[in-house]
Amino acid sequence: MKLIERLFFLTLLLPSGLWAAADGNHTSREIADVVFRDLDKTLGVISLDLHGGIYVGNTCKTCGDPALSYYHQVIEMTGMLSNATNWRGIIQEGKVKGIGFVNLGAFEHRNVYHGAFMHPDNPDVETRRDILKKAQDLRTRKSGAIDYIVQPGQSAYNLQTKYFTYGDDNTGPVTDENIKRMRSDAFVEYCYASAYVPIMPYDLTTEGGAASLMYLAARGMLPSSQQFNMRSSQTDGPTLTINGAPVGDIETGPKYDFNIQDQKSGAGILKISNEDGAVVYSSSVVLMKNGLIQTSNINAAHEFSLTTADGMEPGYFHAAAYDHAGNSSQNFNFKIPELTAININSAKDVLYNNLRGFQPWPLPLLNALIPLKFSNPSRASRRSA
Amino acid sequence: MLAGFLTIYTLSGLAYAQQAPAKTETPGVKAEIEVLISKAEVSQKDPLKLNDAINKILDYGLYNKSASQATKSDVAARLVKIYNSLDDTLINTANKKQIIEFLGSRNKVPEAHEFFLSVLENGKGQYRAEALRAIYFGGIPGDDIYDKVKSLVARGIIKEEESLGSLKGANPQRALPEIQKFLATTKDPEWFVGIGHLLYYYKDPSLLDVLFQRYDYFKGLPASAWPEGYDPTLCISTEMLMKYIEVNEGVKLKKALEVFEDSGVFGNRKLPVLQKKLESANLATRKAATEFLIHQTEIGSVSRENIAPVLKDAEARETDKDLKLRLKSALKKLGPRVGGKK
Repeated sequence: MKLIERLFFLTLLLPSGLWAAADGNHTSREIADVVFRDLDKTLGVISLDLHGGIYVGNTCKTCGDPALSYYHQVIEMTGMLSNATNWRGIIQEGKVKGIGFVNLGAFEHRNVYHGAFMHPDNPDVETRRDILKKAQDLRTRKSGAIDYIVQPGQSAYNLQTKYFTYGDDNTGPVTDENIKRMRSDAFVEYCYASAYVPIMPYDLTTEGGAASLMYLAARGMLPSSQQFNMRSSQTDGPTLTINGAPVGDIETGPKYDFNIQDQKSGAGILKISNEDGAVVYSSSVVLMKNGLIQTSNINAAHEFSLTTADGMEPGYFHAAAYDHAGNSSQNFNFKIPELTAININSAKDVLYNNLRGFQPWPLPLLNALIPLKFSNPSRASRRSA
Repeated sequence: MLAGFLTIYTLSGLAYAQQAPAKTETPGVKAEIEVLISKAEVSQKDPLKLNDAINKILDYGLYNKSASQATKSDVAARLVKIYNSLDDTLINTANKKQIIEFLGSRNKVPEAHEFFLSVLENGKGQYRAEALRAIYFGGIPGDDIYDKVKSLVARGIIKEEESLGSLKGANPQRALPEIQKFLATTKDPEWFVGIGHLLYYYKDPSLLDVLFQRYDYFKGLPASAWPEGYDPTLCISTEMLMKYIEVNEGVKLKKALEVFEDSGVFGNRKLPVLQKKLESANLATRKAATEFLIHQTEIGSVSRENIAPVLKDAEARETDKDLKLRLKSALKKLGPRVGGKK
C-alpha cells in the first residue's frame, strides 16, 4: 500500500504537461462533451488546476451562426466566481455558486481554454441526453441544495483534496437526493456515471466508487485527472435525406420531407436558401427554453416536411442541416422542376461542371453558407465572349 | 503512460477499498485524534490555522471510523467549546459552519445532539441554516430535533417548505405525511419540484402518486409562473419514474407515460419496459403503451428499425379490434423499409 501510494504521488510530481491529455477540440464539439478551462488564479498568480463543465449545445438557434460559441451553453458546478479569493487564498462571501448554466463563449474566454473532450466510448445521443438530464435534475433540489465543495471563509487550497461528500457520513448508497457537496469534476463524473459511462476508473454513483474517488482526491486527484481519461472530441455533422431517399434520387412532389439524422448530438436546424442566397426556410428544434434543457427534443432523427407554402417552388436551392451542437451537414444544392427534372447533388466539384451557367464559389466558402449564384447561360456566354 | 497512470489509480483505489475499517479504537488512533483536536484548540486565536486544523479533523473522520464513542464525545465537547469561543468574522464563520457540519455528520453522540438543539434555538440565521442542512442529511436524527424544527416553523422563524427536508432527516416516517400534505396542497411550482425530490429518499414508487395527481395543475401554469430553469417533470427522477411505470397499469400508467414523454428521456434502451406493457392483460395499459410508442417513433426518440418488430408482435397478439387497427395503421406509416407491409 505504501509503495503504491508513493508511486501515485510520484506521478503527481511530474510536470503536468508531461502527462496531460492532448488538447481538446477548440472548434467543435458534441452535446454532453466535457469542456475544460484553467481554474481561476488563486492570489492572482496560481491556477490550482482545471475547471470542467458539461457542454449543453447550441441553445440559441435563432441568434445567428451556429458555429459561434456565444450561442451555446454549458452546465457546470460553477464553484468560485471571479476574484473569489483574497490575498491569503480565502474565498470571500458571495463568491461561490452552485450548479448553473454559463455561456460557452464566456467559458472559453474566462481563462486558458483547453477545448472539448469526449468519453473514450464516444457515447451515442441517447447516453448524451441522459447525461444532460441528470445534470439538470441535480440543479433543482431546493431543500438541502447541492453546494460547491468549498465555501466562503475556507481556503481555496482545499480544492486540491476535497471532491465529493454525501449522506450523513459519506457511507451508504449514493443517490441524487443525498449528495451534499461536489467539486466541478465530481459533478461531471456523477452525471456521466449515472448514464453508465463513468470517466474515472470508479463509479461515483456507488458506495465503493465514491469512497475510492474521495480517497484519491484527498491524495491529489484533480480535475486534470478526469481530463486525462478523456479524448479530444471527435465531431461529425448530421446527414440529410429528402423524401426518404438518398440524395439524387428524389422525385418531384407536393411535399418534401427533409430528414436530418445525427447520432451524437441529435438533429437541430434545417436551413434552405434560394439561388439569391435568401433564406426561404429555416426551422430548428428547440434545445433550451426558459432555462431548461428540452431533453425531449434531443433525438437522433428529425423530419421537416415542406411544401410550396414553405417556399419550395421551382428553382435552385441550397440546403444545410445542423445538429444540436452546431455541427453542419455536407451542403447540398438541389433544384425543383419545372426547369429540368429534379436533381440533387451534394456540393462537390462535379456539380459546378455539370450545371451550365453556374458561377462557382470556392469550396471552402460554401461551408460558410455563401449563397449560390445562378445566371442566364446565354448572358453568361455573351459576357465571356 | 496512460496505462501506467490508470494502473496506479486502480491499485490505489482498490487498496483503499480493501482496507477494512478497524472495529475498535486502537491507542494509535486515539493519539492521532488527540493531536488533531489539540492543534485545533491551540489555533483558536488564528482563524486560518484553525481552518486548517478543522479540515484535518474532517478529513481524518472521513477515512477512520474506528474512534470509540467516548473519544467521539470528547471531540464533540471540545469542538463545541471552540465553536462557542469564535467570533463571526469571515474565516471563523466558515470554521463554525465546518464544526456544525462535522458534528452533524460523524459524531452521533449526545454532546452533538445538545449542540444542535442549541444552534437551532439560538444560532444566527446562517448557522441555523447549516444545522438544518446537516439534519437534512440524517446526521442528527431524533424526535426532539424534529419537534424543535416544527417549533421554529410554528414561531415563524423558518418557513414550512424550508423545514421539510430537515424533518425528513430527523424522522423520515414522521415527516412523510407532512411532505405528502405539502405536495398535495402547494401552489408554488419551485417548491413543488424541490420538495418532490424528498420522496426519492423513501424509494417507494407508491408514494409518488401525489406528484402525478398534481402534475396537471403545475403543467397548466403559464410559463411566467415558472422560475427560470424549472418545469414540473423535474419533481420526479428518471429512475423513480421508471420504477413507477414498471409497477403501474391503466390510468396511473397513462399519466406516468405523459410525464415520461414530457421529460424526454425515452429511447431505444428503455424500449423493453414498454414492450412488457404491450403484453399486459389490461387493455388500458396496452392502449397507453401503444400511443406512447407511436408518438416516440414520430418524434424520433426510438428508431423505426427498433420499434417495428415490437409493434408487429403487439399487432399479431392484440385481441381488441380498435387497438389492432391502430397498431396496423402505425406499422403502415412506418413504411415498407422497416417491414410495415406484410
